[in-house]
Amino acid sequence: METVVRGIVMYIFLIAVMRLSGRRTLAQITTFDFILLLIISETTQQALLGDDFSLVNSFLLIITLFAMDIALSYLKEWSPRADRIIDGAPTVLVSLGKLDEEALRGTRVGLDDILEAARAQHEVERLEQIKFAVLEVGGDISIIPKKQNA
Amino acid sequence: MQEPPIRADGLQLDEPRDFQKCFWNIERLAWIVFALIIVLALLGFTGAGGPFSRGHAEFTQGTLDYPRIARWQRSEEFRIRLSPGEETRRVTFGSSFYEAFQIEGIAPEPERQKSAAEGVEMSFAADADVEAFIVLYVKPQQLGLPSFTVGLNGDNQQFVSTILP
Repeated sequence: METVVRGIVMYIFLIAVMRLSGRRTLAQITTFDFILLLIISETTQQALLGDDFSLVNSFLLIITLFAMDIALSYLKEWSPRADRIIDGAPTVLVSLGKLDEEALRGTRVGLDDILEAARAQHEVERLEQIKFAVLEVGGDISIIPKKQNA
Repeated sequence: MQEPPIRADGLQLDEPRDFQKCFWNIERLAWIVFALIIVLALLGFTGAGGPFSRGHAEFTQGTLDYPRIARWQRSEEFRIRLSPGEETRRVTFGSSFYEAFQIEGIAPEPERQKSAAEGVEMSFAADADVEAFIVLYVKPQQLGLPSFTVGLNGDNQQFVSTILP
Protein backbone atom coordinates (compact mmCIF):
# COMPACT_ATOMS: atom_id res chain seq x y z
CA MET A 1 0.00 0.00 0.00
CA GLU A 2 2.75 2.40 1.02
CA THR A 3 4.46 2.08 -2.38
CA VAL A 4 1.30 3.03 -4.28
CA VAL A 5 0.61 5.98 -1.96
CA ARG A 6 4.21 7.17 -2.28
CA GLY A 7 4.03 6.93 -6.07
CA ILE A 8 0.75 8.84 -6.34
CA VAL A 9 1.78 11.56 -3.86
CA MET A 10 5.19 12.10 -5.47
CA TYR A 11 3.71 12.20 -8.98
CA ILE A 12 1.11 14.82 -8.03
CA PHE A 13 3.65 16.79 -5.96
CA LEU A 14 6.19 16.89 -8.80
CA ILE A 15 3.61 18.00 -11.36
CA ALA A 16 2.34 20.73 -9.01
CA VAL A 17 5.83 22.03 -8.17
CA MET A 18 7.01 21.94 -11.79
CA ARG A 19 3.90 23.84 -12.92
CA LEU A 20 3.99 26.36 -10.08
CA SER A 21 7.70 27.01 -10.42
CA GLY A 22 6.92 28.29 -13.91
CA ARG A 23 9.74 26.39 -15.57
CA ARG A 24 8.95 26.47 -19.24
CA THR A 25 10.62 23.30 -20.37
CA LEU A 26 13.10 20.66 -19.43
CA ALA A 27 13.45 19.54 -23.04
CA GLN A 28 16.07 22.12 -24.02
CA ILE A 29 18.14 22.25 -20.90
CA THR A 30 20.82 24.64 -19.80
CA THR A 31 23.62 23.55 -17.48
CA PHE A 32 21.61 24.81 -14.51
CA ASP A 33 18.50 22.88 -15.62
CA PHE A 34 20.63 19.76 -15.99
CA ILE A 35 21.93 20.04 -12.41
CA LEU A 36 18.40 20.70 -11.15
CA LEU A 37 17.11 17.67 -13.03
CA LEU A 38 19.86 15.44 -11.61
CA ILE A 39 19.21 16.53 -8.03
CA ILE A 40 15.43 16.24 -8.37
CA SER A 41 15.65 12.75 -9.86
CA GLU A 42 18.02 11.57 -7.15
CA THR A 43 15.84 13.02 -4.36
CA THR A 44 12.67 11.63 -5.92
CA GLN A 45 14.21 8.19 -6.22
CA GLN A 46 15.03 8.11 -2.51
CA ALA A 47 11.59 9.39 -1.52
CA LEU A 48 9.87 6.88 -3.78
CA LEU A 49 11.83 3.79 -2.84
CA GLY A 50 12.60 4.51 0.81
CA ASP A 51 14.77 1.66 2.06
CA ASP A 52 12.87 -1.03 0.21
CA PHE A 53 14.94 -2.14 -2.76
CA SER A 54 12.86 -5.23 -3.57
CA LEU A 55 11.72 -6.03 -7.10
CA VAL A 56 8.09 -5.99 -5.99
CA ASN A 57 8.50 -2.42 -4.75
CA SER A 58 10.01 -1.18 -8.00
CA PHE A 59 7.47 -3.06 -10.15
CA LEU A 60 4.61 -1.61 -8.12
CA LEU A 61 6.06 1.88 -8.35
CA ILE A 62 6.54 1.73 -12.12
CA ILE A 63 3.00 0.44 -12.62
CA THR A 64 1.62 3.15 -10.32
CA LEU A 65 3.47 5.90 -12.22
CA PHE A 66 2.28 4.63 -15.60
CA ALA A 67 -1.28 4.27 -14.28
CA MET A 68 -1.14 7.87 -13.03
CA ASP A 69 0.06 8.99 -16.44
CA ILE A 70 -2.78 7.18 -18.20
CA ALA A 71 -5.35 8.46 -15.70
CA LEU A 72 -4.11 12.01 -16.15
CA SER A 73 -4.28 11.77 -19.95
CA TYR A 74 -7.93 10.67 -19.66
CA LEU A 75 -8.63 13.50 -17.21
CA LYS A 76 -7.13 16.03 -19.64
CA GLU A 77 -9.22 14.64 -22.51
CA TRP A 78 -12.37 14.70 -20.43
CA SER A 79 -11.90 18.18 -18.96
CA PRO A 80 -10.33 21.01 -21.01
CA ARG A 81 -10.00 22.97 -17.77
CA ALA A 82 -7.91 20.22 -16.19
CA ASP A 83 -5.84 20.12 -19.38
CA ARG A 84 -5.12 23.85 -19.03
CA ILE A 85 -4.21 23.51 -15.38
CA ILE A 86 -1.91 20.53 -15.90
CA ASP A 87 -0.29 21.40 -19.23
CA GLY A 88 -0.92 25.14 -19.47
CA ALA A 89 -2.04 26.98 -22.60
CA PRO A 90 -0.11 28.70 -25.42
CA THR A 91 0.68 32.38 -24.88
CA VAL A 92 0.94 34.92 -27.69
CA LEU A 93 4.03 37.02 -27.02
CA VAL A 94 4.11 39.03 -30.26
CA SER A 95 0.92 39.77 -32.15
CA LEU A 96 1.07 41.47 -35.57
CA GLY A 97 4.57 42.65 -34.77
CA LYS A 98 3.58 44.18 -31.43
CA LEU A 99 5.20 42.94 -28.22
CA ASP A 100 2.81 41.92 -25.44
CA GLU A 101 4.64 43.20 -22.36
CA GLU A 102 2.18 41.63 -19.94
CA ALA A 103 2.62 38.19 -21.48
CA LEU A 104 6.40 38.56 -21.46
CA ARG A 105 6.38 39.47 -17.77
CA GLY A 106 3.92 36.73 -16.90
CA THR A 107 5.80 33.98 -18.69
CA ARG A 108 9.26 35.39 -17.83
CA VAL A 109 10.31 35.19 -21.47
CA GLY A 110 12.88 37.76 -22.55
CA LEU A 111 13.25 39.51 -25.88
CA ASP A 112 16.48 37.56 -26.31
CA ASP A 113 14.57 34.28 -26.19
CA ILE A 114 12.19 35.44 -28.94
CA LEU A 115 15.04 36.66 -31.13
CA GLU A 116 16.95 33.43 -30.57
CA ALA A 117 13.94 31.35 -31.63
CA ALA A 118 13.44 33.63 -34.64
CA ARG A 119 17.06 33.24 -35.72
CA ALA A 120 16.99 29.49 -35.26
CA GLN A 121 13.68 28.85 -37.03
CA HIS A 122 13.53 31.46 -39.80
CA GLU A 123 16.90 33.17 -39.95
CA VAL A 124 15.12 36.34 -38.95
CA GLU A 125 17.52 39.16 -38.13
CA ARG A 126 15.44 41.80 -36.35
CA LEU A 127 12.40 42.05 -34.11
CA GLU A 128 10.46 44.07 -36.66
CA GLN A 129 10.53 41.08 -39.05
CA ILE A 130 8.50 38.98 -36.59
CA LYS A 131 4.74 38.88 -37.08
CA PHE A 132 3.80 36.38 -34.37
CA ALA A 133 5.69 34.76 -31.52
CA VAL A 134 3.86 32.16 -29.47
CA LEU A 135 5.09 30.43 -26.35
CA GLU A 136 3.80 26.91 -26.86
CA VAL A 137 2.62 24.51 -24.16
CA GLY A 138 5.84 22.49 -24.49
CA GLY A 139 7.92 25.58 -23.72
CA ASP A 140 9.20 26.26 -27.26
CA ILE A 141 8.68 29.63 -28.91
CA SER A 142 7.09 29.43 -32.38
CA ILE A 143 7.85 32.28 -34.73
CA ILE A 144 5.83 33.39 -37.75
CA PRO A 145 7.84 35.97 -39.69
CA LYS A 146 6.35 38.84 -41.67
CA LYS A 147 6.15 38.16 -45.40
CA GLN A 148 9.11 39.64 -47.27
CA ASN A 149 8.24 42.37 -49.80
CA ALA A 150 9.33 41.42 -53.29
CA MET B 1 -13.26 17.73 -31.78
CA GLN B 2 -13.65 21.49 -31.37
CA GLU B 3 -11.59 23.76 -33.58
CA PRO B 4 -9.73 26.58 -31.83
CA PRO B 5 -11.27 29.99 -32.58
CA ILE B 6 -9.65 32.47 -34.96
CA ARG B 7 -8.49 35.57 -33.10
CA ALA B 8 -8.88 39.17 -34.22
CA ASP B 9 -5.22 39.22 -35.34
CA GLY B 10 -5.77 36.16 -37.56
CA LEU B 11 -4.11 33.47 -35.43
CA GLN B 12 -6.14 30.30 -34.95
CA LEU B 13 -5.28 29.66 -31.35
CA ASP B 14 -7.15 29.31 -28.10
CA GLU B 15 -5.40 31.49 -25.56
CA PRO B 16 -7.44 31.85 -22.37
CA ARG B 17 -5.74 35.08 -21.25
CA ASP B 18 -7.89 35.44 -18.11
CA PHE B 19 -6.87 31.96 -17.03
CA GLN B 20 -3.22 32.73 -17.85
CA LYS B 21 -3.26 35.92 -15.77
CA CYS B 22 -4.87 34.04 -12.89
CA PHE B 23 -2.26 31.29 -13.18
CA TRP B 24 0.64 33.76 -13.28
CA ASN B 25 -0.67 35.25 -10.03
CA ILE B 26 -0.97 31.76 -8.50
CA GLU B 27 2.60 31.08 -9.62
CA ARG B 28 3.89 34.19 -7.84
CA LEU B 29 1.93 33.23 -4.74
CA ALA B 30 3.41 29.73 -4.90
CA TRP B 31 6.94 31.21 -5.00
CA ILE B 32 6.17 33.10 -1.79
CA VAL B 33 4.89 29.83 -0.29
CA PHE B 34 8.13 28.09 -1.41
CA ALA B 35 10.16 30.80 0.36
CA LEU B 36 8.00 30.47 3.49
CA ILE B 37 8.46 26.70 3.54
CA ILE B 38 12.25 27.18 3.34
CA VAL B 39 12.19 29.67 6.23
CA LEU B 40 9.99 27.30 8.29
CA ALA B 41 12.38 24.44 7.51
CA LEU B 42 15.37 26.52 8.60
CA LEU B 43 13.57 27.29 11.85
CA GLY B 44 13.03 23.58 12.40
CA PHE B 45 9.29 23.27 11.80
CA THR B 46 9.87 20.41 9.38
CA GLY B 47 12.11 18.47 11.76
CA ALA B 48 15.73 17.35 11.24
CA GLY B 49 17.44 20.22 13.05
CA GLY B 50 16.61 23.87 13.61
CA PRO B 51 15.76 25.73 16.82
CA PHE B 52 12.09 24.70 16.98
CA SER B 53 12.60 21.03 16.14
CA ARG B 54 13.72 20.14 19.66
CA GLY B 55 11.97 20.59 22.99
CA HIS B 56 13.47 21.02 26.44
CA ALA B 57 11.87 20.07 29.75
CA GLU B 58 12.98 20.62 33.33
CA PHE B 59 12.38 17.90 35.90
CA THR B 60 12.97 18.13 39.65
CA GLN B 61 16.13 16.06 39.28
CA GLY B 62 17.19 16.56 35.70
CA THR B 63 16.40 17.74 32.22
CA LEU B 64 15.18 16.18 28.99
CA ASP B 65 15.99 17.29 25.48
CA TYR B 66 13.60 15.58 23.06
CA PRO B 67 12.51 15.79 19.40
CA ARG B 68 9.45 18.06 19.33
CA ILE B 69 9.15 17.75 15.55
CA ALA B 70 10.59 14.63 13.93
CA ARG B 71 10.31 12.75 10.70
CA TRP B 72 9.04 9.22 10.31
CA GLN B 73 11.87 6.65 10.30
CA ARG B 74 14.59 9.29 10.69
CA SER B 75 16.88 8.71 13.66
CA GLU B 76 16.44 11.11 16.57
CA GLU B 77 17.88 11.47 20.06
CA PHE B 78 16.47 11.85 23.55
CA ARG B 79 19.14 13.46 25.77
CA ILE B 80 18.67 13.10 29.49
CA ARG B 81 20.69 14.79 32.23
CA LEU B 82 20.19 13.57 35.78
CA SER B 83 21.38 15.75 38.66
CA PRO B 84 23.89 14.35 41.19
CA GLY B 85 22.18 12.37 43.92
CA GLU B 86 21.69 8.65 44.40
CA GLU B 87 24.00 6.06 42.87
CA THR B 88 21.12 4.56 40.91
CA ARG B 89 19.13 6.92 38.72
CA ARG B 90 15.80 5.86 37.28
CA VAL B 91 14.36 6.79 33.90
CA THR B 92 10.86 5.64 32.98
CA PHE B 93 9.16 5.61 29.61
CA GLY B 94 5.40 5.03 29.34
CA SER B 95 4.20 2.19 27.10
CA SER B 96 2.94 4.67 24.47
CA PHE B 97 6.57 5.76 24.01
CA TYR B 98 7.40 2.31 22.64
CA GLU B 99 4.52 2.52 20.17
CA ALA B 100 5.77 5.88 18.88
CA PHE B 101 9.51 5.20 18.86
CA GLN B 102 11.77 2.25 18.28
CA ILE B 103 14.85 2.40 20.50
CA GLU B 104 17.97 1.82 18.42
CA GLY B 105 20.47 2.24 21.19
CA ILE B 106 21.04 3.62 24.69
CA ALA B 107 24.32 5.16 25.83
CA PRO B 108 25.31 4.23 28.47
CA GLU B 109 23.38 0.95 28.62
CA PRO B 110 21.07 0.73 31.65
CA GLU B 111 22.07 -1.57 34.49
CA ARG B 112 18.63 -3.15 34.40
CA GLN B 113 15.19 -2.63 32.88
CA LYS B 114 11.88 -3.68 34.40
CA SER B 115 8.20 -3.25 33.76
CA ALA B 116 6.62 -0.86 36.23
CA ALA B 117 3.24 0.78 36.73
CA GLU B 118 4.26 3.83 34.64
CA GLY B 119 5.85 1.78 31.85
CA VAL B 120 9.37 0.52 31.49
CA GLU B 121 11.83 1.64 34.16
CA MET B 122 15.53 1.79 33.37
CA SER B 123 18.14 1.99 36.12
CA PHE B 124 21.49 3.63 35.47
CA ALA B 125 24.49 3.41 37.76
CA ALA B 126 26.39 6.65 38.42
CA ASP B 127 28.70 8.14 41.00
CA ALA B 128 26.58 9.96 43.57
CA ASP B 129 28.34 13.31 43.08
CA VAL B 130 28.25 13.51 39.28
CA GLU B 131 25.61 14.38 36.74
CA ALA B 132 24.50 11.42 34.63
CA PHE B 133 24.15 12.00 30.91
CA ILE B 134 22.10 9.46 28.95
CA VAL B 135 21.30 9.43 25.26
CA LEU B 136 18.57 7.33 23.64
CA TYR B 137 18.83 6.85 19.89
CA VAL B 138 15.34 6.31 18.52
CA LYS B 139 13.49 5.97 15.23
CA PRO B 140 9.93 7.41 15.06
CA GLN B 141 7.43 4.72 14.08
CA GLN B 142 4.07 6.45 14.46
CA LEU B 143 2.89 9.30 12.25
CA GLY B 144 0.95 12.19 13.74
CA LEU B 145 1.03 13.49 17.29
CA PRO B 146 1.96 10.64 19.62
CA SER B 147 1.96 11.54 23.32
CA PHE B 148 4.11 9.69 25.81
CA THR B 149 5.30 9.89 29.39
CA VAL B 150 8.88 10.27 30.54
CA GLY B 151 9.85 10.02 34.18
CA LEU B 152 13.15 10.99 35.77
CA ASN B 153 13.61 9.58 39.26
CA GLY B 154 9.85 9.31 39.74
CA ASP B 155 8.93 12.74 38.38
CA ASN B 156 6.68 11.97 35.37
CA GLN B 157 5.79 14.40 32.62
CA GLN B 158 3.68 14.08 29.49
CA PHE B 159 5.10 15.03 26.08
CA VAL B 160 3.82 15.26 22.53
CA SER B 161 6.00 14.94 19.45
CA THR B 162 4.96 15.73 15.91
CA ILE B 163 6.03 12.98 13.54
CA LEU B 164 5.94 14.13 9.93
CA PRO B 165 5.58 11.65 7.06
